[in-house]
Parts: sequence; structure tokens; C-alpha cells
Amino acid sequence: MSALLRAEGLRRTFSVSAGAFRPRRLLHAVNGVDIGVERGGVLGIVGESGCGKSTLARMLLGLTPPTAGSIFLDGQDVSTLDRRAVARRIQPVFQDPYSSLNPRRTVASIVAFPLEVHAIGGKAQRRAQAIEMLERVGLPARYADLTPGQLSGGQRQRVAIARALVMKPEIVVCDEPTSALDVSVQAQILNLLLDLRESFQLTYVFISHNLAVVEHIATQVAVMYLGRVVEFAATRTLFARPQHPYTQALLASVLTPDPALGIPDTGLGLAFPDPLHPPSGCAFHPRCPHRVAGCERELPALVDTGAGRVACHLFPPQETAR
Amino acid sequence: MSAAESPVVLEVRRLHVDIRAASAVVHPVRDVSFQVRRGETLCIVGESGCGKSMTSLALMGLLPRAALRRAQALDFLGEDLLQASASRQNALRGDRMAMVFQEPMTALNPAYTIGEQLVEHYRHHRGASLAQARERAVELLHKVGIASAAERLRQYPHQLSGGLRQRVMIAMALMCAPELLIADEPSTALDVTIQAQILRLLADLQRELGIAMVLITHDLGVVARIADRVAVMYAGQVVEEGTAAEIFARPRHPYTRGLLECIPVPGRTAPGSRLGSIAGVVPSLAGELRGCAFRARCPQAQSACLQEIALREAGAGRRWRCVIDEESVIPAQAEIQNALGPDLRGDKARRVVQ
Amino acid sequence: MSAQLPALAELAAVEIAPPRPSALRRLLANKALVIGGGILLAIVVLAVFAPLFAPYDPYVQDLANRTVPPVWYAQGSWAHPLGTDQLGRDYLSRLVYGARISLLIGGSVAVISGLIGTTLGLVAGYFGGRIDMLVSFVVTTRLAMPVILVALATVALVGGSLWVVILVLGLLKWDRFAVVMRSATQQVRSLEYVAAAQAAGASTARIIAGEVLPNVLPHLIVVASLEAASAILLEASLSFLGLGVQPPLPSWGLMISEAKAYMFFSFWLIAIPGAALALLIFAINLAGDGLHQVFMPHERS
Repeated sequence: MSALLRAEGLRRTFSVSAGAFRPRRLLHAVNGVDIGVERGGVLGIVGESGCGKSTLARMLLGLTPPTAGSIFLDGQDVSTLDRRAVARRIQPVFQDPYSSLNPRRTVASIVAFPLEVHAIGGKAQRRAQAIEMLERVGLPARYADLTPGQLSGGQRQRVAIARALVMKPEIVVCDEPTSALDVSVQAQILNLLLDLRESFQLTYVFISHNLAVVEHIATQVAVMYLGRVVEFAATRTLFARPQHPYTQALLASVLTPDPALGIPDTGLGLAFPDPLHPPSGCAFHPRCPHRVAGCERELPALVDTGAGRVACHLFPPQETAR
Repeated sequence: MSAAESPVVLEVRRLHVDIRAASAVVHPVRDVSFQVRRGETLCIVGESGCGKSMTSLALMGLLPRAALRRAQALDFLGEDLLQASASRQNALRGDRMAMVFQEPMTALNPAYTIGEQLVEHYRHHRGASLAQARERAVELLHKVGIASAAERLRQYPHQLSGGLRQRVMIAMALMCAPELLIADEPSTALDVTIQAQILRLLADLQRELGIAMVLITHDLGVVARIADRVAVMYAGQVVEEGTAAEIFARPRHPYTRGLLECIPVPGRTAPGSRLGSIAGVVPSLAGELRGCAFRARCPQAQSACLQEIALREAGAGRRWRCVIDEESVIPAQAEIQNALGPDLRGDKARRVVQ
Repeated sequence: MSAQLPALAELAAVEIAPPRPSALRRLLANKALVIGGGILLAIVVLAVFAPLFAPYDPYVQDLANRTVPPVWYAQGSWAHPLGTDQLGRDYLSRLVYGARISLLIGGSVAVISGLIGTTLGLVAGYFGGRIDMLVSFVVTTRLAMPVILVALATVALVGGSLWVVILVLGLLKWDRFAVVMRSATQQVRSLEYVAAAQAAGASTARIIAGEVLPNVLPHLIVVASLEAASAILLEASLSFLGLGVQPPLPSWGLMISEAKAYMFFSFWLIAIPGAALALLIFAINLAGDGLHQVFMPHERS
């Protein structure tokens, strides 16, 4: 696969205090992740709280150094490249429109900031580029001198997108970009992201807990659970034939607006995943309705089953693609 | 589903909430009317700023001091809440009418154990002894699906996960066997798999205990799955009301239709296609509102929308505020069923491999 | 339907929030700030243009006219509106020139301690980890020292003078700056616009100066006003004890000290500088409170 962005064996461990007088514990937020996205594709990363998707996003953006593993941008190890050169190629859009913009700057200054950092063009030129980008995301020029406090959530998110695109990056890492927005605004932002992907030939890494949104926008989906990828497949395949029991439970929990269907029973029980005390073997086994004997002993490997990759003992490595 | 003939637990007629701000009077709730019967779930759905949370606070009498509540009628089990004294409202609150909030961490006091909070609540309202209250607390923790309840009583809120805390909140709400339960976004802050569990719990409890439930949410998926009746709110008003089946199959108000077109539905909306959207923003809630609040954003706005909009009716409890009397049909249920794989029907996950 | 409209038209009906009243307007609307700031401004004007307001040289002694009471007493006259002190120096003039000293002390100490404390606080709050531990250790050590005693000891060793007092106080009173700025920086540090700046490739210095500092400035201003007031009081106390500014400088604290002996006979000698000091401190605290209300209305004072 000619992946534009690839992560290999990525790990990130935090040392957290477990209370006074107790020794510090290790939190394996990301525990060995191999994923990649092709040029022009949209990689959706889904998972619930504690799965490590936000930590993974921060590592891809260079905000948090990995404890182990490497990230490859177009085949080159990112750690060997100039940090700023990488920043020009990968940019973020964050979740909270209310804290992702500096309240003391004007909109134009926020959007022009990356240009300023990389000393691209003179002051007037930067402002012109910023205003042009604002118009591309649907904010007319008269917004340029407002401050974020005067904008709505959807408008702020557009400013964040403009800022991410002003340097014409190749990859945009979106960490829950629509989760804090109203439904009608979410639709506008998703439409915008899809349009911009076409216009600017972008590649997205789209992190979300909202499976319906991911199904709509992603070309491939990786499902994470307690720091590991448990399933990875093309979107259509994953949603039509989810293989990992956790993926099945996740998809079963999606509440489509269909009054005839009741509330699904995911069959997961009450146990909840605690990243500080991960279960032995397969981290999902305490909640898995298809648990077998080996599940609590051994960590399952990510196996290619022809319909994607799964890390589950129900798919032992000997079974090759049919 | 509840019989339409079961007694009315809560009747709200023409509820208004006015807040006196520095420069103007803001009306977050305007002319809201609905009723809830025993054993029935009413979902109040809307986006931020529509007034749904204010409505729930108005019902419980928990509005901020600057807010004024007025209504033609606000009857709870036949008793007029508008005339009730503050002490009477206090007695009702938590006892006969209970509320579950969105953020279980801030709703539970982190300084006290679960047991202490459950017990205090019950003893305050029922004057029970400590032993009786303890027994009741254990009984309810079992009911909400928490195993080893006796141990849990000794734990502090921070020792429990979000899902467990929300279950404890529900248990606390049910301690005094209320007739009405108001849940304000009870599952929004939770993970998707836990959300399904909590909603299922609420539905089961409601069936078992015959409570009337008002569930407030912005998530149309939640509404579709759990509601018997739906009230769609926009800019402080109820713009459409009906059974869940009616609202989703044949939405009458352009806002409801717009909302339904905004949501990506796996299996129904083509991936990568443009989602429907609603142009514009919510109008200001300050000052008097003339005509339809949605007209600035409505694709079918006309001059008649500037006048007072009448409440149209089409059968029992089916109401909407619009000048247009057009029907709009969402693709029939059968088509949706076929488009989705069998796994997404809410059945138990089938065996994966042979 | 609306699905066909391009993104721009989707915003045709967009409402922009009305612009917030400009910073100046908000500042002027706050009563505490207006009153406190007004009094402070009057005192500053008095101090800056002291030669215009003071009828006499504050150092010139007139032993023939010692302890003349102010004009509202029977024996007073307009020649000396606030009377004279025990060495015949005009009190009004001494008061006006004394304002200079108090303001100079307040301002200089605020600046010196502000620079030290803010730097420490920013660094500790932004980097966290070991650096934070180190800075917290330094702050805790400093907090363990009683400022007055250290100041007294230093002055006793080195001798008292205006600059010694300013230096000593400036080098000691940075702790509140460090603590407040550290916590403010930590709050801002965790916000996403800082992460966005990092992701854009900005250097640490640029982020601290351009993203963090402007957003913690309100905290800085409020603490600075409180510390200035505190410094003025401390200098007055030191001078009162004889270990601050040396005579014949017209420091208000020194004037109070010198008036001690005459307290029961010439009450105004102690009352006037005392009242002036109280007024200045009151004005600074009131203005600082007002600033707090304007910039951080959601936080409790």
C-alpha cells in the first residue's frame, strides 16, 4: 500500500499517580498501533473513551512524542525530518470550537498564524491569503476582523478549518470536529469537509465516536479498543460485515432514527474498560459475548482475513484469506 | 407502548419562561404545551438554545432566580403546581417528580459515598430509618443492574465509571418511586455502547414501574428508539408534536424535515454525498416574536409566515405550527430494513465464524 | 431543497453577534474601577506635577513656625493650608512630594517582582514536570520567609534608603505573581489553540509570547495592583520602624513615625499622612477589584 501517512508499532505510555503513597502506574494509552492512510483517502478512527484515539491523533500531529514506534510520511520517518517541514504537511482540526481559537486574536490573524510562523509572504499577502481561505470555507471577508467571541460554534469551526488549510497541507487530522456542534451545523461542516477534500486533494484522518458520521465520510475505518486496533477494513465492508465482537457491539449501538426498532441489546454487560488496569490477554474479553478459553491468556494478533484485518481469537492466524 | 387511555400524569398548557436581562426580556420558552401519561415516554427534542432544558427546569421549579415562569396550567397528577407553595414544591421534587441530569459527575457530590447520598435522599422524603433506607438503596441498585450493591454503597462517585454513575443517578431518582421522571440528556455524555445500555435500562424501568417519562435530547436516534410521543422544539416553541412513528415517517414542519435530512444514516444516506442542512442560525430570543421563528431559514417561507401561526391538528395529539399543510414522506420502513444488514437491526450479534 | 445550496449561500442569513462594547467602554462602566482609578489618577497627577501643587520646598525648615495647625483650626492660616510639622516644614508640600515616593515604590516593586514572578510562573505552568517541581520548590522556600523580617535584617545590614527598600521588596514579593501566573498558564496551556499553534510549528517562545501571555494578562494586571498596594504599605511600615527610607525624605510612613510623639497634641501630624496612605491603598485595591470584575467576571474575587 502506498500509504501517505503510516504508523508502525506506535506506543505511548504515561506515568500516572494512582493516589497518594501508592507507586505510580503506567497508562498505556496507545499500545502498539499499525495503521495507514492512502493519498486522497479518509481514515476513520472510532472507539470509545480510553481507547487512545486522541493520543494517537496527537502523535500523528507531532504534539506528543511516541514512547516507541515510528511515523512515516510518504515513506520517510518523521523523526528524521525537520519538525516545521512536517507541520506544513499535516494540520489539525480540533473538537472544541470554543477553545481552539485564541480569543485575543482576530479571525484573520488566527488563520494567517501558520503563515506567520513559517514566514510565508509579507504581512499584506498573508492577510490576503487568510481572507481567501475564509471565503473558501464559507465566511465572507467581513468576518476577518471579528474576534472568536462574536462567532457561533459552526463559524468558529470553519475558522479552524481555514487555519488548517491555509498552508495547503496534504493531511488534515480531524479530532472529533463535529461532536460539539448541533446536528444542523454538523451537516454543514461535514459537507464543507467533503467539498474541501475534493478541491484541495486532501487526505483526512477523521477521529470520531459517532459511527454514522464516520460511515458517511471515511473510506477506511480502524476500530480501537484500549490502545490497540482491533479491526481495520474498508468502510463498506466494516459496516456490512463487522468481524470483531466489539465492532459488532459498536455498530449495534448506533441508534438510527427508526421508530420501529427498539433499543438494541449490545450484550456487553456492566464491566467497563479501565486503561489503568487493562485485562490480560485480549483486552475485550471480560465484555465479549463470544469469549473462548484462550482469550484471557493471549493477546490476539492482527490478522488479514481478506475482508479487512481483525485482532480476535475467533480469527486465528492460520485461516488465510479465502 | 402505552395505552392512550392511561391517566395523564403531567399536563402543561401554554408555559412561558421570561428572563429579565440587562437590556431586554428574553423568552427561552414560549407557549409550550404538552401532556404525558402514565407509562408513556415523551421526548422533547431540539438543538441548543431551543429551550428544552429550560422547560424541564420550569417543570421542576428549578429555574434561576431571574427567570419567571407562567402558564395557563401546570398540573401534576391533578395538582396545580403554579399555586403550590415553595415547601409543597420541595416536597414533590425528588419524591413524586424526579430528575436525572446529563453530567453524572457534577450531579453526584464527590465528597460523600453513594450510599450516603441515596440514603439521605430517601430519609429526607420518607422519614425512614437508616436500615430501611439502606435496604431500599440496595434494592434499587440491583434494579438498575449494579451487582454487589452493598459494596457499592461504600464507594465514592469518582471510583465509578460514567455509566455506573448514571445508573446510580437513576437509582437515586427512583428511590421514592416517583410518578414522573424527567431525564435531561441522560446518555449524551456517555460512550455509545453505554448509552444503549442506559436507555434500555430507562425503558425497562419505565415498563416495570409504570412511570411517566420526559426525556430531553438533541439526538434524533435516541428519540426514534425510545419515544412514544415526540415534541420538537425550536426557538422556545413546540413546532411539532406527535407519536414517534408519525414524526419520523411523515414530518410536517419544515424544521423537523430539515433535521431529519441532516443526519447521516448508515444504509440510507449515500456515503460521501452532501447531507441536507438548514441554512442560517437560530434567531434571538429577546423581545417579542411575531410570526414563525423559523421563517428566516425555511426553504418554503412565504408572506403568511409573518403573521401569527396557528397550531394545526390532525388527529389525537398530532399538532404542528406551520402555514403549509403539506405531507412529506420518509422512505418506508421496509426499504430501510432491507438496506441495513441484519446486524444493524438491534438483534443480538450473531455468531461470526463457522 | 437546501441540499443544493453552496456553502456561501448557507450563511446568507447568518447573524454576527453584536460587537462587544470596546474594552474602554467596559472599563468605564465599572464603578469600582472608575472611582478607584479616578482617585489613583488624581494622586498620580499630584505626584507628577508636585512642584506645581506644593507651595513650598518640602525640605525647608522654618523653626519659627513649628507645628502650626492646618487651616480649619482656629490658629491655622492659608499660608500653610495643612499646617507645618515639628521642624516647620510645610505639610502640604511634604504630603505632595510624599506621594511621589509612595507611587515610585509601588510601581517599581510591582515591576521588579512582576518580572521575576511572571517569568517563573509562565515557565512552571507551561513546561510542567520537573521544571514545575523546581519552581514550586523555590516558591515554597520563599513563602517560608517572613518578608518584613528579611527586609528589616537586610536594611539593618546595608542601611536604609529608597533604593534598598525597592530592591529588597522587589526581590521578595514575587511569590503571588508566580503562583497566580502558574495556575493561569496551566489553564491556558491545556486549551486547544495552544495545541494548534504547536501543530503549526510555532516555537515555544512564540507560543508563550503570542498565545499564552495575552490570555493571562488580566490575571497579571490584577495581581500587580494588589502587590503595588501591599508594597506601599510595607514601605510605610519599614519607614515607620526607622528601617526604610531615611529622613528628611517625605515618605508618608516616615511622616507618621515622626508624628508619633506629637499624636495627642498635634493630631493632624499623624492623621493627614495616615489618611493619605489609607486613601491610596483604598484606591488601588478598588481599582484592582474593578479590573478583576471587568476581565474575569466569572471568577469570584
